[in-house]
Amino acid sequence: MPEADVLVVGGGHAGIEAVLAARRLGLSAVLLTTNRENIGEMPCNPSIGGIAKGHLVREIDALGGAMALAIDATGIQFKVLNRSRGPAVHGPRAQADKSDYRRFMARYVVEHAEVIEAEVADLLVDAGRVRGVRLADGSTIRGGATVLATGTFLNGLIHVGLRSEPAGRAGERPSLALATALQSLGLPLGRLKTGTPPRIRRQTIDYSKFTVQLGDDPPQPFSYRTDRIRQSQVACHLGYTTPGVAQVIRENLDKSPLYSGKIRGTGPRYCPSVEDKVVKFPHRVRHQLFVEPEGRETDWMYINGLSTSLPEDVQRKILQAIPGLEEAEILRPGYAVEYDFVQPTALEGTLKVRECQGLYLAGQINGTSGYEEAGAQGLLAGANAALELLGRPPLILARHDAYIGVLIDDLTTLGTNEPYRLMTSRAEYRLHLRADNADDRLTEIGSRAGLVSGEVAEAHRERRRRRQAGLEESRKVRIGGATIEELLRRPGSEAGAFEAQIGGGLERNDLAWIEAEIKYAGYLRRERAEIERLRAAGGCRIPVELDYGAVRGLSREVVEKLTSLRPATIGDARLVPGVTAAALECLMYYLRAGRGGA
Amino acid sequence: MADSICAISTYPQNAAIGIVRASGPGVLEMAGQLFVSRDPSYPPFPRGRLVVGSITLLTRGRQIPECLLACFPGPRSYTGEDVCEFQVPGNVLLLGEIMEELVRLGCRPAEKGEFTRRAWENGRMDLPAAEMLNELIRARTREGMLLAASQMDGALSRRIAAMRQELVDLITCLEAVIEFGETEGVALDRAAMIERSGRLAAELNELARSFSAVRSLREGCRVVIAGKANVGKSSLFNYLAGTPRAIVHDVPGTTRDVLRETVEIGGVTMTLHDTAGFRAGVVDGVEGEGQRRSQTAMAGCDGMIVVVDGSAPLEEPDRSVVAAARAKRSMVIVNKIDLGRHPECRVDTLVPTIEVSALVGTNCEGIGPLIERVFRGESPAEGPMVMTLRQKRCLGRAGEAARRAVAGLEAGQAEEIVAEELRASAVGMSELIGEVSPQEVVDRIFAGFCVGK
Repeated sequence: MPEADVLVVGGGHAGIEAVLAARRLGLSAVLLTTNRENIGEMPCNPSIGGIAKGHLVREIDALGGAMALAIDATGIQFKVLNRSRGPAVHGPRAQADKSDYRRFMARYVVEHAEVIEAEVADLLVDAGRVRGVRLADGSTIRGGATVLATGTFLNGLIHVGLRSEPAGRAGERPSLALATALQSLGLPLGRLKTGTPPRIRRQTIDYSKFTVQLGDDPPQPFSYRTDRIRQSQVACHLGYTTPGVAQVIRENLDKSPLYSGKIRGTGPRYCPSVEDKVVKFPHRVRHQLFVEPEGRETDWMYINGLSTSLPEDVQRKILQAIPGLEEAEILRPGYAVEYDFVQPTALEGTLKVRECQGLYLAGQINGTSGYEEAGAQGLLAGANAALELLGRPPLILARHDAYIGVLIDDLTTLGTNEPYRLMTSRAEYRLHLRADNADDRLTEIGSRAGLVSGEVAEAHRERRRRRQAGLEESRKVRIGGATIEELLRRPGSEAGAFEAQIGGGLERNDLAWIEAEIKYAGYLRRERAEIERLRAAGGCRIPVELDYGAVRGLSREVVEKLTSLRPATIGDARLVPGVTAAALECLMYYLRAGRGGA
Repeated sequence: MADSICAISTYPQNAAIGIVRASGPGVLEMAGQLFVSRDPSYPPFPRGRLVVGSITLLTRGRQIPECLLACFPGPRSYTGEDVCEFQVPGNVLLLGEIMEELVRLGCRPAEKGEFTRRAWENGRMDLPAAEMLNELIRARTREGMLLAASQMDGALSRRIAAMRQELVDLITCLEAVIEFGETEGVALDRAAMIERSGRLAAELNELARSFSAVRSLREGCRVVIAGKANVGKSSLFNYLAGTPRAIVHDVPGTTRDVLRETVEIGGVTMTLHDTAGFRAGVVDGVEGEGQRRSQTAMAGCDGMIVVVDGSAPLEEPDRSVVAAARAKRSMVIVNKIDLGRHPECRVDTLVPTIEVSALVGTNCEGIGPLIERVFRGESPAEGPMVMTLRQKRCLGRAGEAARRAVAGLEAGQAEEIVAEELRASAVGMSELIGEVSPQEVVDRIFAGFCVGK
């Protein structure tokens, strides 16, 4: 019987990062996928990054992950969103050539890990521990730890109009047996829905009716390990829906699986179907849509903003009502997919299933949406699976360390009842958690955990020296009587304008870093003092005999958990699922005040 | 998780009635064990109705008749837990016995304020309302007591909640633009943002200011009796205090220290301060120090009663004291009219004036009504007020942050920085009444904006 230290089920964005993280930690790891051609598939939009999502990609990169490298090698339009706003909310984003991206990822994974093409049907459970998987052909593979990253495949059901068929993605079979296996483990399963727009043929679009959208020039790479983007860049196109579209949708709502009650799973609010937009925002006369190529050469064009599960003939009528798409040929209609997910409050902060040893979950199976959210979880789940086998401390990022920390903390303490998407407004320390300082925040942590090579860590130290020198320089160099630092404090000023004066050797990211540290200086001091306080408190010991019931402000549930687990320090208490930041504050206050005060 | 608590709720002194209260799981069963109802159909005891019966002191095997019991099963009770209240003959020893019985049955003597704390923790009362209850119990002035009672309806919390809602709206607008501005075409109306957050900042400021307005109502008006030496300030002080508190002597400069007495005149509670009189040329020695203290008292008071000698011409010390009084709520008492009325003693007609003789009592009955007219606090304006220092500080922080947000908006500051200030403002308000969670903002984004991928 074959065996490996870490088994990863699923070759999507979570699975990839999981298997690679386990390998970086020196363990043997196997990626199980039904089709190796589909490793790194982007089943929905052809882009990586965006606001908060771009932050995640940078963080994955700072921890040694692959996503940033892949998009840097295969992106065909790079654009930082929110350029007009401050550096904390800049959102690096890139359109990918989907098939290039898949090929890059497949090659990268095969180079670094073992891939087995097989369908997983069950988990081998022995005495409360998952010890491997059973394949559809009946054979088994043993593993020290197993990471499930099955995306939308658990009990997947695709809807186009009132027609539905079991499928994980268009044309791919769902995992029915695995869903049953998870249910028998007693995991709380829920049902979610997501959707995708129609793909249309490039040659059938009248581009003259659209506004051209170009990327940044020069394009800025995602990865700290990429020096520059080599591929040539392409354009996207911006258009709008019309009142005619709204009318078609209203007339055909009875054929919508969403509005006929056929779909019961909850859909993502931030990515509503076009029928949702029309119904919920009737006063809006038009909605934006972007025509995005799925690749440099391909005919397949993605209509961002037109996600729908209406029948194909209605989709055709919708397209006919959109200027420039009147003649558009549908290559694949939009559809909705319903799938099972595990309520992530059943997970520990390591993404390990609490009630079951050796089992980790990552990605859409945890109720999230987005390639980046999936990749981030995959990395943490794979790393923690490996760290557990190595007997080393787990890798848990705090809310003030990274967006990954915000993401996982939100999931494991609050759970979700809709596909969860990360947003910068979810972060308490937004001015500190930036794309430009992801390496400052995480490279050392990654290095200590063993995820980041010495070479990468050294490159980071060099960058840090360079930025610090640039910051010093900006305090000395004067332009017209004011220092660059003073000039940068003014609203609307950008560090890019002073590139020549601040000193040579600085990259755009370094400039963004300098700008942020200057613009946010006062706020950062406050945020970092608060973070320091939290860190210091992390080491604060909790008396073994502490009566949690006497700590005011703790919910019954939190008291029960803390009482049964008896964490040694505040830092450990933070890792107990369900213990919120507010609960920690209460605990810290209680310990500080001695007997809790009056 | 919570244990059961009990306490003697009335003042621990022998009285007609004493009350012992208990709250927490099991207290209704305890009541059933201790209390024998005259009506055999109880227990279970009816919610919120007084039941007549007797209390059994189980350890002593004795019955105490003429007791009443009221039960309030949670969560619709004061603390949100099961609550019972025994009303018994108010003997301190008896109250102690009942406490012991309850402790034996599993209660723990409550800490100070613990019932109200539980009410707050269980969401039965918000923090400001709990504070107002405390103010009501501790009020030393009638106005303060009535004001605290009027504030217990949660008006402050509702007002803050409304402002906080507006703030969350504003934050939501900013966040929607930050997250979806470019991909969904969500735009920010800066002018409207400036207007709305400006209004919010002003409102916060105004609310914080109500603190000083109500302080005199709560603590009583500090009124200084001031004037030239030997015009009869101390006689008047004694008259108003109803007791010969101050030494009265016809030697000028008898009063050196500032004397205080809290009095209630015509329903107005005030602390009267008798001060050393002013005499031209005295700057040193004990009398000089006394005069400096008078100055300090005048500077820090809420109101002044200026006393002048009506039988003599107005001199310099009179004029400067009257001038100082003009800036405050004040009145003038022209004293010693029994010695005749000097034509050169003319006082500013803008300040309410009364002519009396404190010595023989001429016209003294008019002093009370005039004091009442001058020093009665403006009856508190309708609506919420800030009554505690804690509330004022929270509001102050919220207001400052809101003002910085307005300034940032006007200066063209980036959205995420303005959002940071508004978040800080929200924290100030949250400290008053509750929490703003990021989830709340996210929820509102989706309720109010059309956003998509």
